[in-house]
Amino acid sequence: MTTVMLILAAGAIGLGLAKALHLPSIPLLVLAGVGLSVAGAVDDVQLLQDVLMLGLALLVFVLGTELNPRRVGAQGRAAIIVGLVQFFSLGGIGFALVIALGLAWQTALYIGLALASSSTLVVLNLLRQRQQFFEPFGRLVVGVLLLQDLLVILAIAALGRLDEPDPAAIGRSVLGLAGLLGAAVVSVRWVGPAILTRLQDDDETLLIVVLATLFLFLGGATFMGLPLVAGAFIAGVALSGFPTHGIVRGQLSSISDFFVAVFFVALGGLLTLPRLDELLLLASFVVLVLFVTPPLVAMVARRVGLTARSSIEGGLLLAQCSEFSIIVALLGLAQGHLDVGLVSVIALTTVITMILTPFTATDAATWRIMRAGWRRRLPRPGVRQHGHILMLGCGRQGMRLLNALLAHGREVVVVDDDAGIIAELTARGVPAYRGDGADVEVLDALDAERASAIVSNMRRVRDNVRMLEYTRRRKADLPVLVRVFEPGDASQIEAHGGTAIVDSQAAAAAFIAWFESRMAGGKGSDQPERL
Amino acid sequence: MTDLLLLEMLGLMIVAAAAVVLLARVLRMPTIVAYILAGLVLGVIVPHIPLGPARAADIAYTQGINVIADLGVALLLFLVGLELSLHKVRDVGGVSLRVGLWQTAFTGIGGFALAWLLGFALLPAVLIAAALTNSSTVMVVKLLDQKREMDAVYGHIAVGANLVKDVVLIIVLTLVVGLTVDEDATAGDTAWKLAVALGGSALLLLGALAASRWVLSRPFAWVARNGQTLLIWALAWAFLFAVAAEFVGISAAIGAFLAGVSLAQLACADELRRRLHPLVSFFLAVFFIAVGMQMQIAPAIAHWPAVLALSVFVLVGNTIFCTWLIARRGYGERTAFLAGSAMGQISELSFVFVAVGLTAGVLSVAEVSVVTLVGLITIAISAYMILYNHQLYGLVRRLGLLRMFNARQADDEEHEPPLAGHVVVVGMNALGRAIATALHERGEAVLAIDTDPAKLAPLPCRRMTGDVDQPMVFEQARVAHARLAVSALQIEEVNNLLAYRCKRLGVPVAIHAFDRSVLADLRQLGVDHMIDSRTAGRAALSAKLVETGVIEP
Repeated sequence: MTTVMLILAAGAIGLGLAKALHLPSIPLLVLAGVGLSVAGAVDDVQLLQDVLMLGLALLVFVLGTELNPRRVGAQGRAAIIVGLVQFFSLGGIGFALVIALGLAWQTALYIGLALASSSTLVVLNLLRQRQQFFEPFGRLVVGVLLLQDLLVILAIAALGRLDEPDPAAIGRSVLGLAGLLGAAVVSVRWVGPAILTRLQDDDETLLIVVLATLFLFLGGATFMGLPLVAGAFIAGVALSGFPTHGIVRGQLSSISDFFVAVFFVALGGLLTLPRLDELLLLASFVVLVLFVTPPLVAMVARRVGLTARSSIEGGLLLAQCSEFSIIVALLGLAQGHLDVGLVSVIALTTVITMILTPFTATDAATWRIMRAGWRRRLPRPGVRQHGHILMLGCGRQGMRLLNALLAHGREVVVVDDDAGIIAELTARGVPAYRGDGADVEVLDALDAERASAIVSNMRRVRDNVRMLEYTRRRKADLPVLVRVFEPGDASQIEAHGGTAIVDSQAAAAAFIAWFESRMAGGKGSDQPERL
Repeated sequence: MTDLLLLEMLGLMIVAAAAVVLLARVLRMPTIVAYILAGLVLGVIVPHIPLGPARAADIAYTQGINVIADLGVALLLFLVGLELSLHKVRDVGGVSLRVGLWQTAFTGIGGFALAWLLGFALLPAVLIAAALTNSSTVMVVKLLDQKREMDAVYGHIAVGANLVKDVVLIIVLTLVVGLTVDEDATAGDTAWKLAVALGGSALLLLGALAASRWVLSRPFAWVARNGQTLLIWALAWAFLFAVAAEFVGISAAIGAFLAGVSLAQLACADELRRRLHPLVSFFLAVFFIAVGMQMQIAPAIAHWPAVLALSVFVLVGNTIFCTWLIARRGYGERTAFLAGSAMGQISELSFVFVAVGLTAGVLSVAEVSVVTLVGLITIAISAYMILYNHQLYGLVRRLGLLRMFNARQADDEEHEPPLAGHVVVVGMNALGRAIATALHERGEAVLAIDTDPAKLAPLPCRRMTGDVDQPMVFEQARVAHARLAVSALQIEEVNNLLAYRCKRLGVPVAIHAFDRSVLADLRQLGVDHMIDSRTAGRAALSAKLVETGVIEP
């Protein structure tokens, strides 16, 4: 009981600090655990390990249920290329580095794998906070993470067999993996919908059945000689369909919240402080992840068709180690290929890079890199524009407005980051440029100050403020119309001299109109009718 | 990562429980009974399965499982504490105390007489009677919670009385251990232990109340938005008290209970209860299965008349006595009967008690086994009695059996007219706030839901803090009875699930289609209205362009 209390107390402190400092919670939970071990507070190592195993199984299980290929949307191909390049390049460099230090190739494999992928938990959380899931780079990043998680699981399954030269055993693992995946597919398709949707009004039974599913897959994995982690992940995949995943999530969220917090604290409790040589290794890993990932990802993303800005944002966002890195390290420890010191190095690399992500993946950093010459020179239009309407951000849905403007005989110049839109507009003879409306050089090149009006559909308030600051400097009375969602953002736009159109208010008005029309249709009896 | 024993055991327990629970659904059996049955089955087969034959009896596994089971009990009592706002304690505190003490006396004396008449020797009869006095707080709370009747007056009385009985039995246990097991202990030692326990409890209670009054509200309001932090903070607080309680020699569960009481006064108590719920379900399942696994019932079969007589005494005697007692305190007939009928079982603490008796050499294996079997029978039957208590009340009333109590016929429950025909609006971003306010101004009954209390605060309509993903929030918002559900959220999964659940209940639903990519799924789910904020925004933009004269109308 005391051990549990101490772990929870450390967890409480870690989470409190994460909230106060606006940092991701995982690294601070691990650090809180390190604090526990440094203070020598926990003596029940057996319990700590049990807790670690349970937490690990649940963590990976939940990650599995989150697997949703549809989130990737149109960026699937780009995600696969970027994901593979990052995975194998960083993994390869890590592997080479460790080999160069004279360590065994098995050790190098584990460390390479630990450095190869980025953190789903941290990145998804940041995307959610910043509401950037649906931006092109958001989709790219989600796809990359999904792919990398799958690769790590496959690699973990393979690593478990590293010391077994017996081909029969390896064959059995492959067969087992196929069997479990088959069971998962059956479950996603038929079992989940048939059983779980029927149980959804009985939360307790539902919970027990969900957990039983997890344990069945764990048992299956152990039986087939696969690592536990693979079983847990596939169990999660088995419950990832809709609406199964949603129903399960509601029940599972607090259990996973609890065990995940406890897992990272317990993990921290098992770490040791690195020696000097390990410290050097740690530093080189951190440098590798922080300084190689962003340019690498950005370059590849650029190649496969993202804009300069999206590519840079994607690269910065992926510059950290994954929660799976820690799991890989633990596995290496269990198999005897890593010692506690190396596990600590990997865990600390993960902790440090995770903590730094919210500070490095920022708007300011992106612009700094953009300014350092990362974007292509914009082709200046042959004719100087005058009296045109500059439309910043158009998208598929903006076509109607564009057509209306053209129908009124207005000259419209469009800036958009979607290559498809630009091609389409250019074919129609509408002047359209690929780039970023918040980019001062773009605005300059397109003679923004000589326009009769600017219409902005850009999503981010910061971008619009940037643009407004520029136009106010150049021409104070230029009408600039900006769409925003929150009234709070509207006042920010107005403070900078723009005219704000508040989407939410327009949408609420449209909704009320619908509501009243349905009301009018439903009248006739004195019972309050359902709409 | 080498020792998988705990996971193996836990896996076996959960899988077995799932199988039995799924079967139990068909028989409408309470899950508690199903868990204990699963435990009994496992207790028989575990030694014979190949996973860990030699290790099954290993201390490691029992330790891990017992830790989980202990956590379960502590968490449950924490949950109970969370239900108790101070005015509830004031309302039912007195009657609970009286019922608890009187019933302990009644069952103790009656049980002793019965056991003695059944031929047990004097000292065993005393211990058996003492074991019978306790009722299962854990089980009563669990069932009330399952029935969503934790808030009922009868529930408060029953749970309160059970807590009183727990304290009494713990005191008796301390005495018995001091007097029989621990041979070196002098009377002085035992008295000192008791004094520490009582003084410590008083100190903990004061600490809990003071913290609740002056310390807790600000920090917990600060983390209220973040589910994980809220949960872990609350649990850390609970276990702090649990450990403190163990330190002064009372059970950890009582400490957790006091921690719960101190948090019950805060605004986030509702949300916390909902978050805690699945966690408690999980730990308790393990607890009941473990109880089942440790039951030894074979030696009791030979003593079946005694088992039968004692079971009937606990089931019927307790029910009648408590109903009478509560009716005499001026409560209505329904409340008195429902509370009384929740007392007809003995508890897991009784098993601990007789186990101590066995170790002390006062009780024989057969005698312990009798108590265990009485426990199994009374818990199983009593679970059905509580689960179907309203039907049982109707039946007993029709038979005219309640006339002897001469109780008031009025109902003690305050029934608020349940919310119906309302509009549920989820997600208080600008869109949600605008819709909720506009509907409210049109005279609709609006219930606004968000995870952030701060965002709800300025709204004029009804408000609820919570995450609609959680079935309990969905239920408490009475979405099934709403005339429309609206989501302004910009979270695809939550919106889809809400739409799915509403359509399943036949409730019309309007969802914020905030991006083109979410449209297809929503359409497929049959959403009645898509709130397309982008298109609306573009239309407003066109209008503005006309208004500012950039284009002609």
